[in-house]
Amino acid sequence: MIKEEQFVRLFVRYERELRGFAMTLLPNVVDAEDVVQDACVAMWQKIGDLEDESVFRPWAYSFVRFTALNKARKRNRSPLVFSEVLVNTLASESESEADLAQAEFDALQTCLKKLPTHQRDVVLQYYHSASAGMAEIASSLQKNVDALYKILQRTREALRLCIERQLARDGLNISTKNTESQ
Amino acid sequence: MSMKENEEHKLDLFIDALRSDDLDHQDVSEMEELLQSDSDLRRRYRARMRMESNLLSVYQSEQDVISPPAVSGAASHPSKRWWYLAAGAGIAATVIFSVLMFSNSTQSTPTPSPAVARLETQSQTSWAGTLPLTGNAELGPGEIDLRTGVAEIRFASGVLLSLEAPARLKLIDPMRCRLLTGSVVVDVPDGAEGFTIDTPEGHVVDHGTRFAVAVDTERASSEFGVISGKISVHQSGTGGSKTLVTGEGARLTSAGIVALERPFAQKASNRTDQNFRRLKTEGRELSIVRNDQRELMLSPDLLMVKTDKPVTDESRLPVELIPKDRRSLIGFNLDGMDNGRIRSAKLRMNLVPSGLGFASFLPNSCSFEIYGIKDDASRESWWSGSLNWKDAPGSLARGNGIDHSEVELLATFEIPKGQQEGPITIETDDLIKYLKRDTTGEVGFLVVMTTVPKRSWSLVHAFASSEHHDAAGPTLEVELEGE
Repeated sequence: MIKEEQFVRLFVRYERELRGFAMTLLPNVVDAEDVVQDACVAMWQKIGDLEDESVFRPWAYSFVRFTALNKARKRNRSPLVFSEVLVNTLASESESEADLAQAEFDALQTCLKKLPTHQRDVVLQYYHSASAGMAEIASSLQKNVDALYKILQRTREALRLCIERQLARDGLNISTKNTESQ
Repeated sequence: MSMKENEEHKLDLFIDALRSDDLDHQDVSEMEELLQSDSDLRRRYRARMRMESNLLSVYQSEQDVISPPAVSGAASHPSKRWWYLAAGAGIAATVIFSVLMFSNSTQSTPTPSPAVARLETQSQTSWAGTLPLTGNAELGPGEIDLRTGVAEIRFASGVLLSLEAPARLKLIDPMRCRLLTGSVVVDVPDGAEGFTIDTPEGHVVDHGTRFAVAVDTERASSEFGVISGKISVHQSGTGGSKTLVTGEGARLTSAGIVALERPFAQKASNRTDQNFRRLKTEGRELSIVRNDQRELMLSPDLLMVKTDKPVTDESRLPVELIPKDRRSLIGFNLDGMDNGRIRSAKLRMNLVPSGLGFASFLPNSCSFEIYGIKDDASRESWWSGSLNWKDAPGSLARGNGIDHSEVELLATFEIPKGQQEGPITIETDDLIKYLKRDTTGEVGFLVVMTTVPKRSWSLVHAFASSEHHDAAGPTLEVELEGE
């Protein structure tokens, strides 16, 4: 059985990954945060079940999946929730990509540095001010909302492609991985 | 566009629209259908959603967005990412926060570098320029332009310079810089004596010390004061110089050097009216948190206020999971004032970012209440030492209700979602009545939030305490009737 401090250390280590996992199941940040949080509380209460550190990751993933499925069951309350069937499919596939998640994060950081300044400014404003609306962000950048959307779209696409290239360079070919997981 | 590309495009639009709140059931079912049918599309979707999550992790950890132009490289701050966990909600945040603090202290590995200096810490900073940059950025020679906040810069020589906005500083080498405008406080460690700061009017050479410099371009003068140790100031036009020791100051202008008895004192209050008093807390200020984990959940420079999302059965939860409600207490000594003559009164506080929690999880506006603590000898010394939630004035033995036998409501105010800075001024008749009624010479206020957020991890509101590095602490301004 692991100690409480061990649990906390592990949770902190994997929290970002778990949030990313939750985001693939429930496509919005508020629900994903909620799921990770509820899963954390549930894990905390079952901490005695965790035999040792090495199984923390799959154990935590299963809590997140279970919590997300619970949300999917009550989907009539929120328009932004997929069906249980799809959540389950996505969860199984995401679990097989767990190692990819960390590599993607590292690649993203490299790719952000390569962005031209104006794109980086937009991304920064958009993701930094999570509560601000598009109009607010647009006006702070002295752009109109349409232009902002276009820059964001282009930037995300650039980042997506850059991450793929970066991963391929590091020998993490996502398409191969994906086929294996089917 | 091929069908495949068309579907990919639809997927991207869907993800782009996630934040805009205008997706409906129809969009979601359409997306569901697409994802169900195609594993490649699901893979793309998962990678995109992880990217969204990662972008949030990267940027929401950056409390301060800065952009000095003189950057030779930037190191990221991995441990800062966890700040929002400490927002204190229905999660194991307390324990996590303690790990956080631990990892913060162990993860900072100093990078050996040929840079002139490194940005060490920064608070509420904004910089002119466009390059976004995280903490610990290395700074090469060049000019930095601080628009707001305070930044600490560590020179390669070990000298620590704290730059206060608005300020422009030119980094020259590890032993020299030029202050073009603004204020700095400088700590020179042993071995770095001789550190020199140029100003438009001259320069100052350190002889082992802590000192302050302010350049006022409008007055065309530089002012120097020694906090401890010894410095020499040199006037560039006349070639004159002067040595200053602890407590001494001088002003440099194009005309020469003038000794100052009280450096940095000319900005004294313009309200010298006998009947006007501006009181500070002088230490009578603190925050309380419902789980009483003061060291983990509170910070002496912030007066925090939060109502947490309630949980259903508190009694069964470990202390870490009890809602992290926070309240603040502020007190003033009326200092022999004839309070019966009070004609008007303003309680001023400065809202500052707490760095804890998400504003996204708040409703569009949050309501706050300010209570006056009733005269009661047993409550008088509430600010001394560490105060537990249940022992604080206005608290009930259990839960987060208000004990109205101990406090009286003086005012309410609203803070719109997203606002995390700015002055709050309370000016009500009830405030005047409360002050006039006081019989003990001590008045105290309790600040609480009444809006209950729907989610955990919501923003913690904070007001500057008198220990805040940037914004002023609470003040009580009182005007008395003429005698």
